[in-house]
Amino acid sequence: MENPITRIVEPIARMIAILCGYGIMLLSIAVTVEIIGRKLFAFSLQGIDDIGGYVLAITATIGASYTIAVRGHARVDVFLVRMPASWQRVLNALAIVTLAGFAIFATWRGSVVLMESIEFQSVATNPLQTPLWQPQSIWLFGLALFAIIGVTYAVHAVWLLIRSRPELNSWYGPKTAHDELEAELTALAEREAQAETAEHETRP
Amino acid sequence: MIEPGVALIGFALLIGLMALGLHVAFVMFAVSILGALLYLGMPATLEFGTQYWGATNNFVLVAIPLFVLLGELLVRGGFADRMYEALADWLNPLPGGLLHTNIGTSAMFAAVSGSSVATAATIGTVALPAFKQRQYNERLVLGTIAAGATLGILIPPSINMIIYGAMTDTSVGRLYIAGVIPGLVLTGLFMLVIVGACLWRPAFAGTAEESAPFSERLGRLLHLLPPLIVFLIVMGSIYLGWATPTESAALGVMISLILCGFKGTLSLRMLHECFVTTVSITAMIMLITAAAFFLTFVLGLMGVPQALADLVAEIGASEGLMVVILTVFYLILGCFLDALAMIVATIPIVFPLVVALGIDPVWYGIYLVIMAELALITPPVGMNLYVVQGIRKKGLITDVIIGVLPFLAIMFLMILLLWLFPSMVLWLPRLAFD
Repeated sequence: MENPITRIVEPIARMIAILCGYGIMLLSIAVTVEIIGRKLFAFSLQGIDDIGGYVLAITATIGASYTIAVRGHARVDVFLVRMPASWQRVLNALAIVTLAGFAIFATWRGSVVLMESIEFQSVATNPLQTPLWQPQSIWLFGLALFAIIGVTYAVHAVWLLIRSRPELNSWYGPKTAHDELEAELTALAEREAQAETAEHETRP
Repeated sequence: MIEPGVALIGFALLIGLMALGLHVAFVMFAVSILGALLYLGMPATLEFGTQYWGATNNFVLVAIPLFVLLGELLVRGGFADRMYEALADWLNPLPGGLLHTNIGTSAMFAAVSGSSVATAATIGTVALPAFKQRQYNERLVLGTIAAGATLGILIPPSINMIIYGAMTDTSVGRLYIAGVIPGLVLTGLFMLVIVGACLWRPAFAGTAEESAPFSERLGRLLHLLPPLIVFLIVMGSIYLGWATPTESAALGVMISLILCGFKGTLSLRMLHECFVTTVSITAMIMLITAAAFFLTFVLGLMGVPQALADLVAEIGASEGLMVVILTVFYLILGCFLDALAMIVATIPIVFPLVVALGIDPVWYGIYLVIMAELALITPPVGMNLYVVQGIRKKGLITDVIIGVLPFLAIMFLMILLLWLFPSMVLWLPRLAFD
């Protein structure tokens, strides 16, 4: 059975992650235009470096929520998987609680960064003179989302821990090499199937 | 002045908390906050926000999502799936036959994707049935797949090199160019082991394959063209100084998109799959990297790099001794940390030592990446061992472990070669940039 929190969170977080993906793709287009323009036509899109930095900063924080939902944040599992199930439950709950704590601290300090940018009307030192509060607001929104989703998961994990529910380990345990392999193999099988249909279509 | 012993205790705490299975990013953050509170006071911990923004808003690191996306597009676009057949045609005549194809395909795959799981999964799935049919020595087959897949993080574009470059202010362009020759040499050495083993015991190579007609083999070479084009454009534009690694990655993404379009594998669904994987990997790496930047910042304020440098000067340790000690140290760490955790956790402490000894940062970067490759195949947690065993779905993982042993030995030989001939690493970047 799937984690009930993930069932609600994942589709939303996924949509936001896809938006970030489009951001990264648009950035590639802009950078490519910049390289070609610079090499061949001596023109330059000003400040593309800074925009790239903003895209990364925003992707990093907004994407962190989706990464929680797919259990993608890295952990060392070698000792954990060899412990008794009851210990694993405690450590798995502790891992998500501490991650949520980290997210809350980051959101608090991130909000101070934004406040200061607004107070001092900071602008980036580039030709665009981007007011820093603009990218930083979205960045902070990402952090806040990360904290909210992290806390939701943490509360759920602690609740499962108190009730000694065995699902805790499968829902909050680290992703193993086996899980990752399964994902790769499924994708590979899909491609094979697709390639075969394509071949049938071209050779009736 | 801070005692170097403090750094040691801090590092032990870092490793201990990671071993408990807490998130790597949280552990790095927690240890930095603890160090800041104990030695610097509250204001230093409050700097976290500014440091976090600075670490994530960094154009060098923008290369990470771009290279991940590039790899995803080429793999999901199906460009890697036919590479195996195409290379098999030409590598078969060597003693060891199809075994060379495992290594060769891994090396080519590595040049487009930095993911060793994707490499091992794709190659393993194609390769294992073929080998069974021809009665190759199974352990050697498993070893070549697991070891070959480690090439992914050495042969550029490598995500680990971007993180190393950003954390130590080393040029990522130089690191990329520097990785090319060691990557090719290591690939060559892997193949030599196969040739050696199969000349010694011809039965290892099973029954020989029939060669396909020349025209058919020539036709299949076309499958190698798209990954080669992407690799040459990405690396070429860096080498010629036309683009920074981040810019060349963006260029690579555009070319991959166009290639997928022509091949007819580009769809909204495929694109979105690439996007979500890219975003989740990027967010995972960036959370760890941001925490690692903060750790470096705190250690810097505490004066740890200076204390370690003084210690090295006091002991008068030679470079050679240091490399031996580091190799043992990384080998032990690699037994239970994955490549990324190992790199980010050790840079803040080891890098100052290395610089104090006068070791070239580019050389050390390549060395570190090879040590991280080792971590992928050292038991008990070598990721690649499990992936290969997972595809095989039978027998004991011990077979895979025995299979990678000769390749492990070769990687140590590689470290020795790099030490004796540092120009293997340093010559090409000098040619390109100086």
